[in-house]
Amino acid sequence: MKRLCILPATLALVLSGVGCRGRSGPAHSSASPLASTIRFRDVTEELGVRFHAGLAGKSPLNIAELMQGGVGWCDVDGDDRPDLIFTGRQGMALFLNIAGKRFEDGTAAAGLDRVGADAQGVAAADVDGDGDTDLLVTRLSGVSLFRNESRPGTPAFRDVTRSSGLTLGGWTTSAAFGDADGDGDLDLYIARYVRFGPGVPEFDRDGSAQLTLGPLAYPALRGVYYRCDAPGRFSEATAAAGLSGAHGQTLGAVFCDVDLDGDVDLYLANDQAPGDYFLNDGRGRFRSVGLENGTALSAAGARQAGMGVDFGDLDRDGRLDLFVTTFYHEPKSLYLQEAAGLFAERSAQLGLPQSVLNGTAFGTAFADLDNDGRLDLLVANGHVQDQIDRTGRGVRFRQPLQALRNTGSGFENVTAGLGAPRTAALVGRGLSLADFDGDGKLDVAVANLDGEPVVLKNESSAGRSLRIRLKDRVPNRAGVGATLRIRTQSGAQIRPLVTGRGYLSAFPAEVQVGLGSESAKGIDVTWPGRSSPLSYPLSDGASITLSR
Amino acid sequence: MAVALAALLLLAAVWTVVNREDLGRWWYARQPLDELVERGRARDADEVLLSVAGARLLEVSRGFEAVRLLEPRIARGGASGEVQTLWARALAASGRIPEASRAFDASLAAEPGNAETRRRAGEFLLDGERYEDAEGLLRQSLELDPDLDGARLALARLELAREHPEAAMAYLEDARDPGAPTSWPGSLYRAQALLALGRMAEAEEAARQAYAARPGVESVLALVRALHADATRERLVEARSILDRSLVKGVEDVAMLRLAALNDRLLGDHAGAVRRLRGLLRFAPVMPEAYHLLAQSYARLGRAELAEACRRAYRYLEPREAAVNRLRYRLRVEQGSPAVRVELAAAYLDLGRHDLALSMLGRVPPGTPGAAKLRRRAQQPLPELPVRLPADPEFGP
Repeated sequence: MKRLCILPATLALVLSGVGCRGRSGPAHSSASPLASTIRFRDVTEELGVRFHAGLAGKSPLNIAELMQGGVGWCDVDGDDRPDLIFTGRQGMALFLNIAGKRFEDGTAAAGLDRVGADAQGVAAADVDGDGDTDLLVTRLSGVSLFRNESRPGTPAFRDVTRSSGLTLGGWTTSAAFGDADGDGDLDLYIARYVRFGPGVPEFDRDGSAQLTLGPLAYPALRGVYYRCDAPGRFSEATAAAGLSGAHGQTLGAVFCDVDLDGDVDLYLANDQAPGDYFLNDGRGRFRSVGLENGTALSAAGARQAGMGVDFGDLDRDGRLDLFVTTFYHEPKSLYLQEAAGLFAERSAQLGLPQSVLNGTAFGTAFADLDNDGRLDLLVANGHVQDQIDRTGRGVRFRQPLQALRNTGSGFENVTAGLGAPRTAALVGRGLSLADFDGDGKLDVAVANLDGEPVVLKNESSAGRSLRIRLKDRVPNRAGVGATLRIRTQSGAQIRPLVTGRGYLSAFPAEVQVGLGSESAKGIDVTWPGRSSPLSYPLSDGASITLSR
Repeated sequence: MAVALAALLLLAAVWTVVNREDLGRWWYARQPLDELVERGRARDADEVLLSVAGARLLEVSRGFEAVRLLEPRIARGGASGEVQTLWARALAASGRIPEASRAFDASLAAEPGNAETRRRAGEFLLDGERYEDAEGLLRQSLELDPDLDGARLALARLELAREHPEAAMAYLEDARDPGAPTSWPGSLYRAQALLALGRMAEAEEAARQAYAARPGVESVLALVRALHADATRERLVEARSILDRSLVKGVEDVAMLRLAALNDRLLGDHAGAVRRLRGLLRFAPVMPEAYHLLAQSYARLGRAELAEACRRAYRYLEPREAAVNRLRYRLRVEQGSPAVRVELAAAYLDLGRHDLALSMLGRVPPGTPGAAKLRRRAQQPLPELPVRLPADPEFGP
């Protein structure tokens, strides 16, 4: 961060082009006077979370064995506390949050222990509009949809894949729910990767190491869009929605109302292919605009190994920016939305050069870790070659989880606050955040391909926070896809309510916003299917539910 | 006194006789090159003169002249191992690869214990991307002469080509001559390895040493990449100045033009970027990323139609280039499979690269299915690709 002082000048310089509304700096620096310190503590064992993804001594691993590892925070048993879900080589695990103090393995009791070793990631949403959270598991072959039939204290899920119409095959990765066609229910995009299966070549030699063949060795698969016909029932509508032109080989997918017009747009992070940015016309018809808006390629115009993805207004200018994680020798892409619908890649200028973010990056999320009103960034890293340490390439299989704090004028590396040693050497994949203990601070869970996952309790000296939930019409009761504008004395923060983002991961259907020492004056909500926001005044409180 | 003087003279004479070859090398190294070459053409030119003249010609990339100089001596037979090695290098520098290969075999057979010959043969194989064979010869060269830093540098280059920067650094740090890591090309390889390892401050220092020693394309690329790691305006301006100096010298290097365009974009100079990218596309007319960057810069300049024309070109080229990339990857994985070579040749044709298609087909065994038909197609004049750099009166035709 030694160069942050030049940032405004640099940005002013690069924003001087025609058609681009310049701005003097990337963030409101007056949001919070708090001098915060980001600090986490590894509480995995203490909480009783055990899900050893493990490599079982096998090496080398093929591509399918190296990409899995999802994580999700969502309240499955209706006790208002986020439970924890992992997917990976061991199948699937559900840990029930017991009063925010410990977790109890509820996998078998919930009927989720039959998910096989091909589980990739997890997505969560109230698919059937009955008020609880259903789970979608992506797999090496298709998906599994589990309907939540829990009663208080008794978690229970039923596999309803066949009756739901989600009959696709092929290697599925991330999945995103959103009301794409504005009819009030949740549609679904399921990303797919490559065609892989028995009999295909798996490895290559590099000296004494056997290296895993990458995605270019296999035919690419494109994702599938499902329109919700009735609660819990879907039909394939990829071409009808204009999404058949996606590049495929997709690892990250997010539905988000980026242009704040009341419908969700779609971004796909594709591995070694241009990223796809699809703009929604409000009726569930999409148009590819990634080339035009500057989010398809790296700053150098190159394809990247896009993996994880998230949107967030990191500079508090009222426009959502985009972050895409990539491979170890590639810059990570931080696309600032510098004018409405026009992005530019600014990672190096904002304190995230390749020398800082130098891992093979998968899971990621914008999150206000210290509640100072500015979105920080988390990145989970881990290589895709389990024998890479032997090759002399100067890169390790296990890599650190990284935290980058938003200072208001860029990012500073605060990885040390994550509490090594476990976080310093993970094979990180999915990553998700939620306030599991109700202390107003976002805690972290990371899927680890080679070992136990990591649950980190947030012990930062943090400002105030506000948790916001929405209550919408059925069936999209939680208002997934809405965008919130939280007004404070120093300005506003824009937060999308998105449950599927990052890499193979699920997030709670709520928004948690840091306020520093301020209080929120009001919230404007752009509800799904409605282009103009509704305003809500606020009184003090740490948690609020807003209804349409 | 007289006796002492006579003894001294005798000693000097003996020393001169013993070291006459080194003295000859010292002397010839200081003569004007063209004069030396002229003398080398004489039938009775000594082998030391030929060796020094040949090596100096190769140093300044005058491989064809080196071939002309050495050919008569080789034709007479019985040339020293050093001259045979130079001959092989000269053939390689002139693009006569099969002959160079045979010449290296001959020089290795003539002097199996010569470390320098093994090093040069290893470098030749390295240039041909025959990494395992190259590594074998270079390692043997180092076993024969552990002080031969040239072999160490070649091994560093080999590891860089394999994307093993850590291994490359190990060779560079093992150099016997303390000046080797800071001299060219040691400094260049060091810069490239450090860039790959993300050690940017050290990379910049090494790149500056490389650039000071030899401001060629590779040094420029390394230094500009190091400057871009911390892209302040001051450093971008320095990068532009370095790139401009090199481009003024008439270097038409695609990578350098591309980097210059990126640098202009980072400086917010989209008009400059358009000029560079249009220049680049004249050398590399099927480079999709250049069309993409050009589209973005045109959009920033408010030239929407030109931007859209460039996007159309990108959309046409990108999937074809992606197909080539995928097949190149498969070719490596399937170890030169003839069937993949044929597929790759077809992909090159789709991209308008009939030169690469023919080159690829040239390495396919006779009778490989589909090869003959494709070869006939590649030899036909290709239909013009529906991709053309749009005319722009402001920035050129």
